Amino acid sequence: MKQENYFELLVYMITSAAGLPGEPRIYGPLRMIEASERLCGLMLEEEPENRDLQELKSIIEAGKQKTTSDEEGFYQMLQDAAAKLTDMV
Amino acid sequence: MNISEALEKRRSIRSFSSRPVARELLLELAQAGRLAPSASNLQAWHFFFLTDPELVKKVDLFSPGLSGHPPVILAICSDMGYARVHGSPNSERYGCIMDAAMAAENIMLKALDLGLGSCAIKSYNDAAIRKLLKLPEDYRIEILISLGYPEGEPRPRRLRPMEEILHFNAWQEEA
Repeated sequence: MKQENYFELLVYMITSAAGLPGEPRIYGPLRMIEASERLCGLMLEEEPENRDLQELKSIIEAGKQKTTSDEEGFYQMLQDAAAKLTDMV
Repeated sequence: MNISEALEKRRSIRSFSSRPVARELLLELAQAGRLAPSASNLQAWHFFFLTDPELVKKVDLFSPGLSGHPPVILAICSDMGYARVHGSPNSERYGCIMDAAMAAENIMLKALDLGLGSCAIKSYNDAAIRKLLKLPEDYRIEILISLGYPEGEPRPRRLRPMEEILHFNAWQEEA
């Protein structure tokens, strides 16, 4: 099951890389943060109680909705997600 | 639902419930699609409704732009062999994709009328989807549309201001 989930992430990353040369520039950060969110989900399967991971996932989930409606808000979410990581190192 | 209401209400839906969509509804969507305008009345389009959960899952997997795990995916394809014989070089260049886009809008408006959500995407891996659908060499995938019963609220709508995009008569430089 876990292997399957990693495989799904792998497919997502490779198909994203294959498609990005023809996509709008903002889709690059979008695909990377989406992949990060999926990775976060996989980590949460191993550590369901990890509050920092839960919070990071929530930050990404809320912000990625803004890609097509609020670019500034989307880019701010990337900064917020990066800043959140400092709580985890 | 009248047309103006449907135009206002249609949104790109990126979250779906797992509730299956009845085949009769998909036939209604296909009918809405084939009523769309077609350049030179060519109608080179083919509508592939993917309903097999295994196939839907695989196509979903190879489509980074597809969100919300729809129970049905529609692939609108053009038969370029047919278009070359019955159409013109312009059919291949832009006619078929225009036809597919017009059919897609008809289908998405009809979907709304039937209580379904939809989202049109081009972010899929063409080679992978062709292989999964076992498409003949001459078939071109024009667009994928996710279909299903919506769950949650769509993203906020962002429209460019009317004054930026509206013109009457010839183009004029801003004063």
